[in-house]
Amino acid sequence: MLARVAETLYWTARDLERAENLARLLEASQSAALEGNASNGAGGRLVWEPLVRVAADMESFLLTHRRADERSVPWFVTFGRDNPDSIAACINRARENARSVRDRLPTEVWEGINDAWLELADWPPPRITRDGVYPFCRGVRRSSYLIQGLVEQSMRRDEGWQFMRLGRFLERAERSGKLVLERYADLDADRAATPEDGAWQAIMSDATAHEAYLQVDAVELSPESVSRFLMLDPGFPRSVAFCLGEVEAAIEGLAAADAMPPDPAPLTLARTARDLLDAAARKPWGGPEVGDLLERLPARCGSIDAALQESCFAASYERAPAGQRAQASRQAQN
Amino acid sequence: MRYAGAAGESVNEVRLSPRDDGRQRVEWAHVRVEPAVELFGHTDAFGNEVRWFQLVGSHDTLVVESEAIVTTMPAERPPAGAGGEMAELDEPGYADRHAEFLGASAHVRWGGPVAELGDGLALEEGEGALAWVRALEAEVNRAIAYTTGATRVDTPIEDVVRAGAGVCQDMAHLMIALCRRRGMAARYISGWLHLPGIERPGESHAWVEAAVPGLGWVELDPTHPDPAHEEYVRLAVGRDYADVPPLRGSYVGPPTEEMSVAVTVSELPA
Amino acid sequence: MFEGPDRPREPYRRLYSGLSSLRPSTFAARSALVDRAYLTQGITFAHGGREQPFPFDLLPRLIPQDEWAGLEAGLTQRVRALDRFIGDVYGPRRSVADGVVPNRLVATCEGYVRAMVGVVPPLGRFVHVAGIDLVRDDDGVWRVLEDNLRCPSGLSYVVQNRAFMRRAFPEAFGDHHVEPVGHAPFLLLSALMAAAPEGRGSPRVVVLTPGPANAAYYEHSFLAQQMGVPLVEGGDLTVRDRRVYLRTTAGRERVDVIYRRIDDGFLDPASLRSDSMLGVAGLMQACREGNVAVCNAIGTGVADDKAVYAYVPDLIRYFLEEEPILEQVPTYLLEREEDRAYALANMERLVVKAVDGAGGYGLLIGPHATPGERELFARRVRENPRGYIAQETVRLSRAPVLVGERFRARHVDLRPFVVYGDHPVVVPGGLTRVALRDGSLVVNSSQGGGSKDTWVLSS
Repeated sequence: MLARVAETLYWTARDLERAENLARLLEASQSAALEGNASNGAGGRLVWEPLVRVAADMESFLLTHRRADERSVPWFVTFGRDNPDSIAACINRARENARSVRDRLPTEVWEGINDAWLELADWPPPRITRDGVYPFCRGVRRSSYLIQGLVEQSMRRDEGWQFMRLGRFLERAERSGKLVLERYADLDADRAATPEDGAWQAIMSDATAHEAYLQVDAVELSPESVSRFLMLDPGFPRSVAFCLGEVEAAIEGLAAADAMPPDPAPLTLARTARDLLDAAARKPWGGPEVGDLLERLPARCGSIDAALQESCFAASYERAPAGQRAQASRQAQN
Repeated sequence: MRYAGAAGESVNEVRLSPRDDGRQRVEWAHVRVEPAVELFGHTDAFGNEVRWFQLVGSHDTLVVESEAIVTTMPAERPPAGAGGEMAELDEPGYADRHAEFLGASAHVRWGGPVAELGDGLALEEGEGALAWVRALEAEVNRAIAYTTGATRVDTPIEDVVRAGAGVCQDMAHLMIALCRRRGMAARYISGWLHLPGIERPGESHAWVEAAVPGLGWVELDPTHPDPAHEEYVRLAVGRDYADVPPLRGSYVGPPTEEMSVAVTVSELPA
Repeated sequence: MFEGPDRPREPYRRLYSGLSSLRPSTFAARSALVDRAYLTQGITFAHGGREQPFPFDLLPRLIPQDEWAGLEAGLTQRVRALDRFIGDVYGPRRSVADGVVPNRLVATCEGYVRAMVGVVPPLGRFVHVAGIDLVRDDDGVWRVLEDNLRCPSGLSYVVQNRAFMRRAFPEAFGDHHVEPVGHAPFLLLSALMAAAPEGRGSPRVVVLTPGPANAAYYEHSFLAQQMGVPLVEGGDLTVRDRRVYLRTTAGRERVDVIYRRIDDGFLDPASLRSDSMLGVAGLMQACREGNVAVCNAIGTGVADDKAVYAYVPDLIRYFLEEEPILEQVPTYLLEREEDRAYALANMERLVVKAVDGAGGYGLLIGPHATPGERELFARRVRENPRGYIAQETVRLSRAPVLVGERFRARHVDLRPFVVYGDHPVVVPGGLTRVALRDGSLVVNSSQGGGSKDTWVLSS
């Protein structure tokens, strides 16, 4: 498969996943901010600031906004022109990317992505107020489900599909990992936060995660147990362990199809990441080791991405860094 | 050619190979490229010998070297008064046969300052086409002062006329423009020149060939009028410089930091 | 379509009686459905910096089988002759030596690519896809308006228009027997594979596009997808050992045939335009050595020059020893003094075209032009006579078009596509383009034109 096409499919899937993730998070944050401590003026600290940290970073957010609250953050996350990873920007990018490889996508998948993009136009900026968040996010989620369903139902299991799978699950693993890390870091400073805060519900991203969790452990809703679930649960499709398993399988599939050089570096990185998680699963959850694991996993996702660029997307371009030029010429002078 | 860093993916055409024709015989010729690479030859639309090469790996300098031993002969010099009349240029057969060398081309146009210059020359047409074009050769030589560094490879012909200064390439282009403007076909020749008594690294040279009715292609040199032809080695011919650059191509990498050209022509003992 | 008010021409009678039961508002609703489908699919062209759906008219254009058979024979004849002519221009130049076309015509042609002189593509074939624009005049005579031999676009619309038509307007098909067009990409692929260098068992074909910013990008990706071949940009290809390769995630893969939708000059920055960022350095050499087939071959523009057009009937007689089947439009070569004098004196009834113009630019329609516009063109013609031709204005036939909720008569033309593998094959029908502005004779999409599905009816 063409290196450019592979890279583009990978990023199309990543950006769609990112948009969906952000939509879930925003929705969950919005409802968390309505109840408990967060509703009593602590919403900024408990809900909105963490959301900014997961979605982008606080420093760049503060360059253009005075504070993180229920007005500034939803706007920033959905359409913020100052945010290169806003939901709208992700969908835009995904659509542009999909357009440039639409011959490799089933027509219906392309239509789904194009429609998601066309629907952005239904949301003139002022409508993303408090009341707009839910319908908007719901629309984004539904578009994403539709596209993913179409990808699963209509795409051949070829290299293109594997690269999309890789992009989607690597993105999801990274986001889930970051989310847990974010809340876990707060834990020591903020022991007072009780499960009833709803902030721990926000980390579940949405009701689905909550429901899945309840099936595993309905009794305890502690930060420890929730974070363990989101990191290690082998059966929950948004847990880091599950996502990395998919990443690994996708890379194995690609190597088996000769779409990657044998024993690619990304595979080694994915396997060792899974080993870390397996080891953690055998021990009690807690203590500095967990903090260490939480720090390492999002970083590891970044390394897998970098290794893909290197061994798969860029290396095959055989290109020197600078652009193409015409050979200089010199006049006849005698 | 020295680049400001590593260059690669370099693909080039070289037009530096003399060819046998009525006036020169190539005893031996060789083009060499460094870093070493295989060269592939073909003949272009104007009959010039082209060598093509591709350098994939990274390199920060590129050397193209052409060496040849050529026996040159003076062209048969048409006596003054030979050839046809200027009026023969207007015959449809002439224009059709030489259409390739009658129109404007990349470096050759005759609007504005070129036309004004041409109008001011008031060349005598009654003495025949050969006399006319020889007179033009002398006029162009007078109009443009040979000045190294006054122009660059892409200086427009209009600027050359306005400045009244340039090098052989500019003078050749101007003369071609003035010929074509009058309906006389003219083409550009790139080559090497051996000025008698001078043995030092020089530069490449450019001169002109005009299609004189009744005589065919006649060589002229507005830079050194009335050339003694055995001192000229022909490399390539085209509508203008753009058809025959000694090296043309593209590469991926940083800009060119330095480019130097050296030509040494020496007379071998017979 | 109409012989007189409300009297449809014979082939349309059945269609018309079937449709007369439908209300205009039904048409409007169906039409909106198709527009939405085009938007969803992103079938758009960039016009004035915005992406717009290609306007589509619901009423099909009908061509009876017997009429089509004549067109088919004429089109294949024409393309065979033009292909031979191009091979002759870059090869022996017999047609010039024998005085069929003047040397001047070739040497001064914008589409003449000097780097191709002496290059013989696989099979000696230069033209693999041609789009020949035809018009039907008031007397029912089909005439060739111009030839498109470089990168003719529109084949995707032929296929898609039919697909949308089937979905949005099934009742129209009624009891007609319509020749299918869905196999057009397959015909194209067969022709491209036939062009592969000799000895390449199962040739690797790619579609080369300038990228998503190109106005015809939709078509490039559609054709690549339908042919099941990679859609590539210049950066995806590389030359090694004078052969062309794809850059894949696992290394290099040899390419045999490039169906390119990039203009000649941009294909190779080393040998053609040095400022091109779209091409592949070294492609020209691979091509010269016959290691890859570029389709259409570089330099085919020498035969679709509008001044060369005037010589096509002679070229058919010369190369094929046949009488031309298709009529042309009477044409004046403005570099000829007597033609020029006539044209300048009669500009208000002639069409003046730039010889290398495409897409309806560089065009003056005398009867519709203001005196100022005519004066502007007269000046351009005097400055550059070789750059223009003049033609008699053809009274284009008109067809009904849905405008708002009503039918209006609008001018139409037809671009059938000829694909040339082992032998030339015409895709049944073609792209019917409609001038959506009342009275306008210009049907190009870039000039506010739309399209219709075109049905070749077998009895």
